[in-house]
Amino acid sequence: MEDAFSTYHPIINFFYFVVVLTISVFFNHPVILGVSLISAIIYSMVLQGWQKVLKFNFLFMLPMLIIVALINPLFNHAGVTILFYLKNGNPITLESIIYGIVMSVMLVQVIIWFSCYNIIMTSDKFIYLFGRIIPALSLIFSMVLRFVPKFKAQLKVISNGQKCIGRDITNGNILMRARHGVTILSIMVTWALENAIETADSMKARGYGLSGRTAFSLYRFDKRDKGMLAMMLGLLLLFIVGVSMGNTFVQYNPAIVISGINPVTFFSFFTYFIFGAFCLMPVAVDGLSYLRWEKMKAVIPEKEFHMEMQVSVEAP
Amino acid sequence: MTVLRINNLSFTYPEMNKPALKNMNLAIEEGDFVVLCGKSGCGKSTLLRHFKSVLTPYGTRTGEILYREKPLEEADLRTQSQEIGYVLQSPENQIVTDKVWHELAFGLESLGYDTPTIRLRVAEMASYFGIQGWFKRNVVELSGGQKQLLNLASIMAMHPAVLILDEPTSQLDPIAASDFLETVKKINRELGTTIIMTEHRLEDVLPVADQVVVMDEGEIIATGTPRQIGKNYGPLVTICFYRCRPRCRFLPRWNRIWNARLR
Repeated sequence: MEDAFSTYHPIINFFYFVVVLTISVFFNHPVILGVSLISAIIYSMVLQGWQKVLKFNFLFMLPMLIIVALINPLFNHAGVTILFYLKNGNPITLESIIYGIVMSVMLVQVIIWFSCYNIIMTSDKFIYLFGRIIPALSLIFSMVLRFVPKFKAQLKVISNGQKCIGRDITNGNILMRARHGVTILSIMVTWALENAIETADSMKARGYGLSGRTAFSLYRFDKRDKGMLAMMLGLLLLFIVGVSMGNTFVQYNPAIVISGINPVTFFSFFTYFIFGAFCLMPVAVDGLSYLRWEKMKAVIPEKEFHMEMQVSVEAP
Repeated sequence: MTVLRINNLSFTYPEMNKPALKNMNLAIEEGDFVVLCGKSGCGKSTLLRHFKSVLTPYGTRTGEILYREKPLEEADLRTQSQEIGYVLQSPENQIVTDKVWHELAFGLESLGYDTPTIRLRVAEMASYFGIQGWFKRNVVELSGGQKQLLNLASIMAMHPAVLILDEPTSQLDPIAASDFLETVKKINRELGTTIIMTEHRLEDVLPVADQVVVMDEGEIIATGTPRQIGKNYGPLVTICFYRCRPRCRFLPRWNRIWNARLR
């Protein structure tokens, strides 16, 4: 399934990730982190399927979370609530444990967000966004992305060919292996230079080097993108207002102070809610497009069509 | 109208005694489908490369090449890039960018078209060549046949008047080659593009060729419609055809087919 959010303009995609990642890195508030973590997991499930994400999270993220959470109190002894002393006399404090947990959650959610980012922000979107600054660079990027896989494939071909005559880097002692490696490299370089001539011909034949080269892209900033951007900016503004009211203030050292949750005021809840809405926007977009598709599918007169088919078959 | 005309063209590669092309005379009409044949090393590719200034090899040249009755050199790079399309042999090496759509747009970008125009042309070509299904893919994921089709489409996006193909199917499997040649024929038939090609799979292109040029040792030994050539030069040319198909082991059978076609 193609993700509906990824069909938006690259600026929208990029803006979303920049905001979400910035907020989740710079805000230590536990509610914000929790909301961000849950949204990241939900979105990655939408993108990669829930089984894969659950497996990944339990196998890699959970152990990492625990390790990072445990390491902090071992090295950080600041805080006013001392729980007990280690044998060497260092105190273990409640504050450092809590802070360790917060840090590890932050780390984990940033990794999950980046896994989503990698799926949404494909290379061509990235090239489009940053190629604007230096147009020549965008072509070079694109060419590099073309050549790297090509070279890799050819390297494999050459290496397999050499393996057949016992001259791969896996054959012989260290000295022999090094020599074979150099031979393969030399073959590779020759091949690359030879092919580059034909590529250069193909580029020249299509007028590369003429003055006034333009940069084409598939993306259009249409009404839908404008609406999305307006919504994102609106939510961000409301969130900033909420932040400036002090709803996300937090302090872990020396004593823990978390504003906004004890008691939960209307404004603090509103701030967290706004942030959650922002984080879950792509999921909402996907959900809406799914519903729309289902609605459109329901209109297709499938049964009648089959009946007609049957009649026409049986008639003669 | 004569699109390309060669008058007394001779060409010698540097440090070679024997000329690669000798006293060539050829006229190609607008909308023609011209097939060049001859055994390997007879100068087919050298001749084709002379039809586009940027690809012309270094060496000593005498005689002249006229594009629309004017010396080819007078047409600048922009005109030549746009009007004379050149598809090379290797499907792999001609592709410059990483995405199919970007490759289609490459020539138009070089020519400096604006985004709406490129969008239109690219869309047009993608649907003409049946590329829409893999339009957004990476080129690495394509098969050889698809790659060569993409190369053809990216040339055709510039709307050339003349399309030159230098053994475009030599690295394709038989089915992909057949498909590719069908597309070339379709371009000639529907868009009226002049086509000049060298090809080993003659049985696919001869039926539609308007003019066949048979070369040997850098000389044109016969030109004319496939029928005329068969009639006038029969056995000699048949051997030439046979020679330009190195993988064909069945000369007698081929001969029979060729004769049957003439009748």
